[in-house]
Amino acid sequence: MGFSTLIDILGSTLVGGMLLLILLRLNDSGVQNTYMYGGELIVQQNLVDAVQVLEHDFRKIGFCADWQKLPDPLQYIIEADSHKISFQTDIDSDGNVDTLTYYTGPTSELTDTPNPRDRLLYRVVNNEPPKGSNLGITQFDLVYFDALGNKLSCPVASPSLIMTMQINIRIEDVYGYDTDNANKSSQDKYATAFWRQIRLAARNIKNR
Amino acid sequence: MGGKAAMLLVLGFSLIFLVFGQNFNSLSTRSVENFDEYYTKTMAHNIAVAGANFASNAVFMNKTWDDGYSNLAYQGGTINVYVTNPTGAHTKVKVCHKPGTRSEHTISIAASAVPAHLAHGDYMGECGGSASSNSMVTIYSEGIFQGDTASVYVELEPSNFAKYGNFYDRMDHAIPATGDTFHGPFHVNSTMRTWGSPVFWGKVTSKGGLKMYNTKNPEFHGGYESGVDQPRPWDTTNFRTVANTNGFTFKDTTGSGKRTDVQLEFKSDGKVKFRYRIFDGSATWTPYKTMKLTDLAPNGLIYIEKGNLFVKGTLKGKATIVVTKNKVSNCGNIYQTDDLKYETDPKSDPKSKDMLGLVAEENIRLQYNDETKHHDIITQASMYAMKGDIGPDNHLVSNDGVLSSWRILGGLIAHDVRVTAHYNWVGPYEGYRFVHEYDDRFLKSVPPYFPHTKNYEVVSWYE
Repeated sequence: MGFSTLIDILGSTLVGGMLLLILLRLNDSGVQNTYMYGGELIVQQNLVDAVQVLEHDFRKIGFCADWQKLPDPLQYIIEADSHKISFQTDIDSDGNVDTLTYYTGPTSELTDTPNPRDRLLYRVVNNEPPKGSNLGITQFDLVYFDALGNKLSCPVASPSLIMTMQINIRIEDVYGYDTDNANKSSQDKYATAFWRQIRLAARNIKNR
Repeated sequence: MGGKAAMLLVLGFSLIFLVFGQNFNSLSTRSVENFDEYYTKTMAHNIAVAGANFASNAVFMNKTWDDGYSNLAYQGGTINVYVTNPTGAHTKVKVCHKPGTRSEHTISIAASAVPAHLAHGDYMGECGGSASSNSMVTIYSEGIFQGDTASVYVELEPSNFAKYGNFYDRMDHAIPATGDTFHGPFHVNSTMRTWGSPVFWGKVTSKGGLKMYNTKNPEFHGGYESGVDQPRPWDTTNFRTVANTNGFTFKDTTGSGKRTDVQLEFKSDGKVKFRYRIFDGSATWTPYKTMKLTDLAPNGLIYIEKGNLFVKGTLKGKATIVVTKNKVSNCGNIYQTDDLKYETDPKSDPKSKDMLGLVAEENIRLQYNDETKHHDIITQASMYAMKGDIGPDNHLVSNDGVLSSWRILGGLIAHDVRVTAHYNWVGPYEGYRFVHEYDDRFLKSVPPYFPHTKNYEVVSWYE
């Protein structure tokens, strides 16, 4: 083995080592991106699912297949707060009036997930046990407006004043990536999606 | 050796990154597709809502409209609207549309369109349990956008003036102000004016917009809508026909069309005591007669042609009394001579079936007499004054310096507002305090043959 062979081995080891380091870094970056992309997709799918359910239910405020059972728009919304709403509707279009309640639980309910802000969104039909799903909701804000477009303060003392409402939802990845890294911002750790329904008007509120 | 290893590493990782890249592309595409799907669904929904709005407006403008829309291009999509209208001009066939899906609804279509509907799984006849009332107009609107379909189902019913807590063609003599509370739907056929913060518990509509004075802070608990024209046509033909068929008519039977006044007292046992006089020279009252309301007017409509009514008592049952002027002077008025109330108070028993409608071509007045002056007065009825107003007689507005209360349960539908008391800077000091409560039952049912509005109203909207 001559001197030049030694140089070859050392040189190739150095270059190979550098290549390996680069490739390992690229691999790490690829894994992170895959995780974040996957997380974003899940977040966006959760958002669309949540929004579709909310739109479906909220548009039916005051609806009853037998309208004579729910003739007075003043009674449609029972309770309205910034994170909770309870209203009358006919969930299954069977002609019987149901009460539907949406509210968010405390963050302490979901301590098993790394995300400190996620909470359950509960959907309660009549007196059934609350059903919550962890879609990664970190914000579920309701803003209410009267007939003249004035914002109503929460909790709304007279829910009959409500003519339109605004819904703000923020959904975050519940597990995130590299969540223990204190140098990373929250946005870098948890994929986030935000949706705002401006002026949702349930048509039955305007009937009669 | 080392070079080969490095080459293998590069090739291996290149392969891995190709997979990563493919995966990133797939995730991005699915993410976009996710929102794209939401967008098409939302667009289909919005197009269906637009179709329902078009059709509702068409029915509102022409109550016999049942043309519907077929493949109407709108916002890059298509609208199909099927209308079932009992007064419609077209002969249609009922089919159950999209059975077994969330969009299942009975629709009415032209006979020529039946084969196409049967081909996509519809069946003839109504869907199970979906029969609607005979007077109901239904609109089924379908929005199609890039393969997605959404539907909206709307039900409209003929509307009735009895549903209003307050209805005025104009409000020239008084405007709702701070401290005033109004229950039930409120309509003005001109500009709605408010002073300060009056409270409206029912939906408020006006033809000519809203003008607010002072703090400009009215409370509309039932909402507010402007541009709503609600004309009040006065057509007595139907009243006459119905009263002659199965109700009762007071009139000058000699055919000379003389004024006919009627005194009528409702009894709590379901009977009615009455007498009348015809101004044919003698103008003497006939002897009192007492009989069951259901025998006097089985359909509940009592019609007084060219006369006046003096009414009081406790009603058991349902009745509407119509008083016309028909161009004869000093006629067309209803005078309440004492308390007029229901045998079963709907406030304590919402199932009460007692219901009264008072319809005058001119005015409805609380009469100044020993039974009314200085006393609180109760009126439980929906009152309709075609050309005049509703309120106390001039003497009762001063009430000899006494302040009493006029407690109304029902509605006031009139040409103009009438002042009920004299006011100083602290409030009313003589006359009648206006204490008005709305009879919630009028949202669903009305006194027999009470005047109905020209238009339909949306009673149910499913989207």
